[in-house]
Amino acid sequence: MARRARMISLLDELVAARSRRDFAELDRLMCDDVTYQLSGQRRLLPYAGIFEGKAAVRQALDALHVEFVFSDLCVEDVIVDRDAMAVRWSARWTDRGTGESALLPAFAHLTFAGERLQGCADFVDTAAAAKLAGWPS
Amino acid sequence: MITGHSSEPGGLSRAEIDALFLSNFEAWHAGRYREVVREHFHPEARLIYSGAGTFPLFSGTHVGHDRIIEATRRLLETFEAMRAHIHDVVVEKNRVSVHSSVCLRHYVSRRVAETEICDRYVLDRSGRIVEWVAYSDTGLMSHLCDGLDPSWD
Repeated sequence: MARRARMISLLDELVAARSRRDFAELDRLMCDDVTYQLSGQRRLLPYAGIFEGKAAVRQALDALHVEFVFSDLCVEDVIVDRDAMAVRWSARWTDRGTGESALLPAFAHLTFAGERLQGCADFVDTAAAAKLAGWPS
Repeated sequence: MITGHSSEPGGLSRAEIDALFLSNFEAWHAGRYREVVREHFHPEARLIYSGAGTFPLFSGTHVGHDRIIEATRRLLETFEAMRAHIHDVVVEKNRVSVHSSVCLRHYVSRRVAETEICDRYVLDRSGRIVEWVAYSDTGLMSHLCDGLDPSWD
């Protein structure tokens, strides 16, 4: 149970740092060889792909935050399985260019090594994100 | 390959849950979804398919065997699913999250692409699925439709 509580606490710290775009804190919470995957195809969702290493992950997350404002970020449900975690989350996505906004549900699978994030795969409604940004499908 | 971690699920062992989902996954992608739903889903089970508005054909909430089978039939009559693969299974008690990928081919446009999928399940104590929340890459699926009406019926 203590391990589960620690995992949830780590998740809270990650979500808070990501919400604040606090990359120094994110750096502290991530392994050097961290990987981040935003599910989707880059030609349809330019920020999609697999990113390896802190610098690449930081760049990917920052690019996403340049396009969208994320508000009302809410972790709705968490499954903890030793060093793995599956998270159901939602956030209001607002495109900075078009001003379009929607509350989108999402899933994430995360893995941890010790007290740091080793991998994260985000699954979002890519059609809705593209529509908000005005990208052709 | 299932690469999840051991846990203590509610009514089933972790090995039983892994076997159940691997079996369901294979049967589903072999076209035996009707049998899987009737055998492994609670009669009042809910399927919540993400991307509401993008795919009115099968998006939304579907309650009960018949509705889940109908939504699945529509999905699988729109897209052919090939080379399905489980990447990771995360289990805690009666909740399961499965990350997989599948190659989809739209029957009309003939466009093909691999897509990532994440499915989240809640089981009852006998191992029957009472809730299934399905994520798929709606942007890619829309692209595969190639401008064809996704509300095709």
